[in-house]
Amino acid sequence: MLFNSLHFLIFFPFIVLIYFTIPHKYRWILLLIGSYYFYMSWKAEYAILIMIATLASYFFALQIDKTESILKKRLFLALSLSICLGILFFFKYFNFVSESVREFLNLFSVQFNSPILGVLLPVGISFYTFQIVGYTLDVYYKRIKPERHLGIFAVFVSFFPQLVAGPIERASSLIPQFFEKHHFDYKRVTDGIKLMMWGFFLKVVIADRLAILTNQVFNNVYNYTGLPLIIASYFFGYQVYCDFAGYSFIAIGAAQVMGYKLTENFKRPFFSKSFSEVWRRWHISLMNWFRNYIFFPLAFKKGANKFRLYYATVIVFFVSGLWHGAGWNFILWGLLCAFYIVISRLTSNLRGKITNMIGLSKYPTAHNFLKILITFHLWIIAAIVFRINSLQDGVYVFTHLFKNLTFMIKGLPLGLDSIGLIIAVVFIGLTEVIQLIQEKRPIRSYLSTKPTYIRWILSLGLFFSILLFGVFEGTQFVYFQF
Amino acid sequence: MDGRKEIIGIIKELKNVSEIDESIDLIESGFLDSFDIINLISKIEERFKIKIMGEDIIPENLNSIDSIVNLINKTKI
Repeated sequence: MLFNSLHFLIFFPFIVLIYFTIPHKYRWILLLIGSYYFYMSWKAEYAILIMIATLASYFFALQIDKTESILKKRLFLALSLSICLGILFFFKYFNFVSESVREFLNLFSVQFNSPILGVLLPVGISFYTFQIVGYTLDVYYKRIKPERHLGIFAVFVSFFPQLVAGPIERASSLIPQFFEKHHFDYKRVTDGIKLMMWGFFLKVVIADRLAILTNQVFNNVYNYTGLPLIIASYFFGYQVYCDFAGYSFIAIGAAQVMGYKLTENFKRPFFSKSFSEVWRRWHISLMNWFRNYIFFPLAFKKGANKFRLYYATVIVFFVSGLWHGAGWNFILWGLLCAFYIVISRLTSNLRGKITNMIGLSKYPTAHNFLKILITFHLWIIAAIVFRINSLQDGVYVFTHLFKNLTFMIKGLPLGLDSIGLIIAVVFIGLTEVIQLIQEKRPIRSYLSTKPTYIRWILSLGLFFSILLFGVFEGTQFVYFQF
Repeated sequence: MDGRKEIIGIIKELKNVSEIDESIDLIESGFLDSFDIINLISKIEERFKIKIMGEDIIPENLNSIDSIVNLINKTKI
């Protein structure tokens, strides 16, 4: 079920209504049934994968906790991770590895018909798998006790607001919330609905509108040179943000309506002054996961030194690239992000000296603006790598971005007419202004100082913008494929 | 000087700041990045004459002044 579907607009109020009507002790049952229905309305048989992963991680976490033997703990951990990551590998990476092996052998004129599976990628598999793996590792490292209530644990794995595209939650943060009794709180509920509306706005008004142009251009790159490629690149950078941040806001808002607090997943990443900062503002729950379970163990477990930090950075972003998709462009994208961070760190002192030498450090506002601008453009370059359909397409895009560059676009279909383009640009500008206010102070506290009628006008404006300017064609969220 | 004050002093020196907002999560907020952590650990080891094990260098042990104090006390035992 998509958030931006009529199905969800009926499903969600229905669940909320029952949730606040029934006693607390039965709510986990409602959430479990609702979450599985939410998932199964997409492809019912794939719910079995969630069930297997849930049962395996539940059972082995209990065994890890129970045994005193280090060897047995490791064995149970290995079994749990093998099952969960094995399912992920089989459905997400098998074909990619198989094709890569075939292509590699073909380079040496070895004919090898490697098997290709005719399976559909289960929606959200990377998200719930990572959540489960995090839980199992936390139990293994004795950071938490295993959850003994199978029903609550199953809700933790399948909680519908964040099941298919996060935020990826830690067990220590989410599981206790299922034991808390949540009352209907008018302010919390309306705040949650407003957050959902903001998410819908980002998704259907901006992301889906930009997607029309970016899909047209990136799926037919050889028809374009110069300005259309540049516009599509900027638009895609913004589309992927509005698409995924939009999803996260809807998820966080939906959970908030029912009384649950999910991790903030995006903090205005385009205001970042360095690429490291981007990753503290973009897909925060995934980066926290990488930090806790890959970066820290790799960087510090055998003692801390700078070389290990660089090594851990490269590994984390390599895995991050693979996590995003089974394709060489995603791996390249991950390595490019690692390259940015490593180079940024290595040149930090030199850049500081240059900034002092040319006197830029005397003008902090201009200096910060320049840093934001450079970081944003590095992000756009990475976004191109992320979006391309093949490495050949990528080579073409980068070698034709500035070719035949004119400021007129004639005779080429871009998918959007001039009105559509203007609407897209105006709403991007509007979103940036709102985010600029948010950067200075929380928008809710800012609006709370305004008269009630202004808050109503803004809420209704948001609502009618979604109705009037939204693109309603049931388009999937970009991050669903991960 | 107690351990808490000493740690605040080390972090101020490390980050070249006059004050530390103790309400923020030092790791999650990005106030301490991975390179700061290396320097922090090495200064703590030097000043407190202890050896912090790699497996103890996890975000939970470094996210506040109190958790760093706990880590040092645990390591001393």
